Amino acid sequence: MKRSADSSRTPSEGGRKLRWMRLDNAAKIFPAARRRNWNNVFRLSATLTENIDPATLQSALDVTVKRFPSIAVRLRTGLFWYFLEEVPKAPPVQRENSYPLTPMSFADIQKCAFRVLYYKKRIAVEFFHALTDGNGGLVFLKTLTAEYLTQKGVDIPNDNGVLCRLAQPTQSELEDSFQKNESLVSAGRKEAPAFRLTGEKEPDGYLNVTTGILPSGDIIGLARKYGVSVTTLLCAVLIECFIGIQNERVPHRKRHRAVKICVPVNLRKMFTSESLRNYVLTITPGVDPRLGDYTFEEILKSVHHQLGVELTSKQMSAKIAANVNAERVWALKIMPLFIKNIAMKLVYNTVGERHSCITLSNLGVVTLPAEMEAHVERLDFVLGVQATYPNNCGVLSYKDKVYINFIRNTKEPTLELKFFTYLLKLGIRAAVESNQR
Amino acid sequence: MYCVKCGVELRESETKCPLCKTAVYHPDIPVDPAAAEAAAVFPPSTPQPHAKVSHKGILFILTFCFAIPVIILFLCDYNFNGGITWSGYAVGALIFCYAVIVLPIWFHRPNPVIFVPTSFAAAALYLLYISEATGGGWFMSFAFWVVLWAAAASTAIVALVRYVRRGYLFIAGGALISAGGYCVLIEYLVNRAFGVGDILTWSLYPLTAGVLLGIMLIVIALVPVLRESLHKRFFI
Repeated sequence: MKRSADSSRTPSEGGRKLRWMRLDNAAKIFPAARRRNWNNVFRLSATLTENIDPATLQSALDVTVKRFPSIAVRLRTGLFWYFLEEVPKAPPVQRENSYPLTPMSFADIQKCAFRVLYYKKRIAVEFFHALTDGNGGLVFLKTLTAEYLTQKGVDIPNDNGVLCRLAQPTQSELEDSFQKNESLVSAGRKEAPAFRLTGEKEPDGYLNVTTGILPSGDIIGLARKYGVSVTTLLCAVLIECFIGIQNERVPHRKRHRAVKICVPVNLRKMFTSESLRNYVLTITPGVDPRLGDYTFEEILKSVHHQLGVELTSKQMSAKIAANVNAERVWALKIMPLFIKNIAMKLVYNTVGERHSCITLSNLGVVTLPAEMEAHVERLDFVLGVQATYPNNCGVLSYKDKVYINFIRNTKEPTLELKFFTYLLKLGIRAAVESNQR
Repeated sequence: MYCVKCGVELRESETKCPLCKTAVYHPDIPVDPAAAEAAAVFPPSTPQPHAKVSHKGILFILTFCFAIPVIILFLCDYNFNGGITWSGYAVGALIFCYAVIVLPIWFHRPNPVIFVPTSFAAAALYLLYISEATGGGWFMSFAFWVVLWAAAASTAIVALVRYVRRGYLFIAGGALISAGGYCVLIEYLVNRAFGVGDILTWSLYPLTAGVLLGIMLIVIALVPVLRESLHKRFFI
């Protein structure tokens, strides 16, 4: 079996052995695709019932990082590949800025590839995507918050995604699960380019976050009424919004492009895995507006069936095979890293983000131990903007509310306005807040 | 609170709707900015000065880009020929391009009424150099008047467009007539300076075309009904 996590003795401060590991299969693209002002990052936050004490938070982080050697890392450069190396000590916690996901430069990532922030009652963790995905990040956030509450005198049991901080990390948490479960046949990657929403960029890189908070009962009820999942429903609403925007901006139907939504799929449920690293694949359900006007019900039906066809273990295995086969070609393996970077960046810039209008990442229902739920009011999941399209959407459900976080680097809230007013039209009233200036 | 325009519910942190930017309004509940700020989801934004590209930096780089080939050309010419021979022409062209392209950038708001004649003056100087260097002696008998007429006509057009800001059909008509006359001037000067011929031949065609088109535009400008009718048929 191919070793996916390595440890070696590395000279370090205090002589402590620093663990290092290769990037997992999905993570390899992220350092190569970076730009001067952009890196692929995402954020998870927990809002507690009391204001955060920075000293206690720092102490909790110092304890928690030892439990997560695959997350408390920095990016290092090898001759042929990047690799992750454990950070010798936890980064200092920082006060938040006026907008989330402030630029994480490559130099910062090479010192520490994640950061912990606080503001009023909220703890936020921002991750470079090469470390982990939303589900892995959620485990880290839950454990950090649990340790914080424990240090504040609240006894939190280790279940519902909260790990024991004193336990040793298991091999299964550190493995690159992409190296298993691939099929003999690789899936094709050819897809039509999607419509891209454009707008006037914020001049100083400000990121606008608009959060919609809606009762989960309402949205689940509506999804059940249509016989679809919540993700399918939200996907269909987004497609409807993008079709409307494209109709306004591109008058000639012949010039319309496909409207597709990139939906990350958590593979841990499909292929049993405890990995805390990246283990997601994306599918892009959508419609082609050139074929005619779609009703909302038609969009729902199409998305529902597309997800049904794609979301099988066999299809996912074929996609995994396509990805892992690419990194196993010897000619590519022995290519120096700087040439690999040029090639991967070229591919990413050409086709990487062309196949979808937006990413909709739904972490689903998040549960916490009952003792912790009493102290955690709310959870949020915010994706960073992509390199070329200005919007992204992160969703999760906690207690009886669904939190939909839109982020954009443009001034106009075109998509958000259409989305929430469409939900209103469907009978779902969302309370909206933002960091607008 | 609800947005009065799009109807979405607004959290207490919002003083205007984040979706449609409508100010929050309720006839019975006054909006309290202090409460909204206290409920803000992120710290307030401090405006960051937008980093502007240094004007002087660009000028320095551009000047450097022109200076390097000038120096190289002079050095090569001096090295091979012991003096300035062919490089004068090339360097002259570079200096002319610098005067036309880069010189206006030195000023915050370059006025074309000043820089159009300046560019023609630079062209005249370059032609003077070529005339003297080749021993042609045609500058005062030909090039000077050609450049002078072109400079005067261009400056007049630019000045009218910039300051009068109306009567564009009159200006275009005048420009066409002037262009026709310019061709006549060129042929006359060519005949006189180089002894090519005695009578005007080819320049009568552009003169006729320029005058006819110019008069047509002036007539259209003078007759509003005609102008409206043509606009209806030919709008894009």
